[in-house]
Amino acid sequence: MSASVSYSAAVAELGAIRDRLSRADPDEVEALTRRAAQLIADTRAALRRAGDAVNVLQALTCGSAESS
Amino acid sequence: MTVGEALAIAATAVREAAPRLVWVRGEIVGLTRSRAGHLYWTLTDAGARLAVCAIGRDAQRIVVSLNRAQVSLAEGMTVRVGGALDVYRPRGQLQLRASAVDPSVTVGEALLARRHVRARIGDKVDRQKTLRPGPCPLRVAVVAPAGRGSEDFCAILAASPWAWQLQVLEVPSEGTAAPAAIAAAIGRVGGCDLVVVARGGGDAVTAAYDTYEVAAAVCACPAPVVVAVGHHADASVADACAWASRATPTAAGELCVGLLERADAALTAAGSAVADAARARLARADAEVDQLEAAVTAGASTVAGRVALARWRRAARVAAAAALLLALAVVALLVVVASR
Repeated sequence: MSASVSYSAAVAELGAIRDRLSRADPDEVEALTRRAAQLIADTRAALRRAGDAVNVLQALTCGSAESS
Repeated sequence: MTVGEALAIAATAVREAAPRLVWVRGEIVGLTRSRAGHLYWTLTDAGARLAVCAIGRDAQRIVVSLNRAQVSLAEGMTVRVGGALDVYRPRGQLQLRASAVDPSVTVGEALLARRHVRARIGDKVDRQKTLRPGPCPLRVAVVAPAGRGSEDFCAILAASPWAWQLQVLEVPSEGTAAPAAIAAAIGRVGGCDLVVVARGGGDAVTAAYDTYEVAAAVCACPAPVVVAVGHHADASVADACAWASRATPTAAGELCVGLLERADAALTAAGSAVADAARARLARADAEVDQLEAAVTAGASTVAGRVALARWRRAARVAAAAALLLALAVVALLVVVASR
C-alpha cells in the first residue's frame, strides 16, 4: 500500500474521530483521543525515514548517458 | 612540387579569393567536441559538405554566445557560421575555421521546430494537468543525466526528513540518442507517485526536450511529471506538457519536499481538530455536571436527584482523567515530533 493511501485513510479516520467526539460519552473520549494520537504517530513514522540516506530502489543507465 | 607545396598554393588561392570572414549556412552533421574543448562538425546543404572547426577560444566564444541565446549546437540544427576558409593540409581538405555562430538563425529554427512539435502534440498537451499526485508522493523516479541534474535534486530530498523511495534513470541529455533514451526512460518508470525529468548545470535548453518523442512520453506518463531542464525564458515543449515545470532540479526537489510538508501540516491540523473536539466535549460535560450539582444543592432532595448527581460526578471524574490523558497524548506527540 502506498504512503498516500495509508495517509488518506488515517486522515479520514481522524475526521471520523473528530465527528464522533462531539456526541461521545465522556468516558469514550479517552479511547478516541488515544486512537487519534496513535494514528498520527504511526502515519508520521511512515512518512519519515529512519536513517540519513535516501532509499534508492533502482539506479539504471538508459542509452549512453553523458554528463551535462 | 610536393603535396605540401600544392596544398600551400591552394591555401593561398583560397585566402586570396575569399573574404577574411565568410558566413556559411547549413545543417550540422557529425558534431564532436574534443577533450581540449575544440568543436568539429560538418555543414551540409543540398549535395555539398564543408568541414568546420572551432579551436580554443573561438570554440569557447561560440558556446558562450549560444548559451546567452539559450540554445546549444546539436545534430541536425541549421546554423549560420562565420569564419575563415582555409585548407587543412594534413587532410588536404577545405575547411571553415569558425569564430562565430549567428544565434538568430539557430533560435529561429528552434522556435520553428518547437511550434511544429506543439502542433503535433495537440490536445495531449493538457493531459498531465488533469493528474493529481497523491498526498504523499514519496516514490519518485528521476530521469536525468549523470551529474548535477540528479545530484542537485537528490541533495534537496536528502536534506528533508521524508522517507523517499527513488528510482534513478540516467539518460543522455545531448546528442542524437538523447530523445529516444529520455522517452524510453519516462515510459519505463513504474509504481511511482511522481516522475522528475531533470537536467542541471544551468546550461541552455537542448533540442532533446523539444522533440516529439520526449513530449509525447511526458503526455503519456500515468504519473504526474515535473520537468526541470534548466534556466530559460522559453519553456521547452516537455515543460508545456508536464504536470509542473521548474527552472532547476533544485526547484523540482523543493516542490516534492513542499508536497510532503503540506501533508504533514494537514496531519497536524487533523490532530488539532481531534484535540479541540475532545476538549469541547469535556468542557460540555463539565458544564452539565455543574448545572446538575447546582440544581440538586439548591433543594432537589429526591432520591432520583441524588442518583443523577452521583452519576454525573462519576462522569466528571472520568472527564478529568480523560482531559489529563489527552494532555499527556499531546505532550507525547510534541516529544515525538521534536525528537526527529
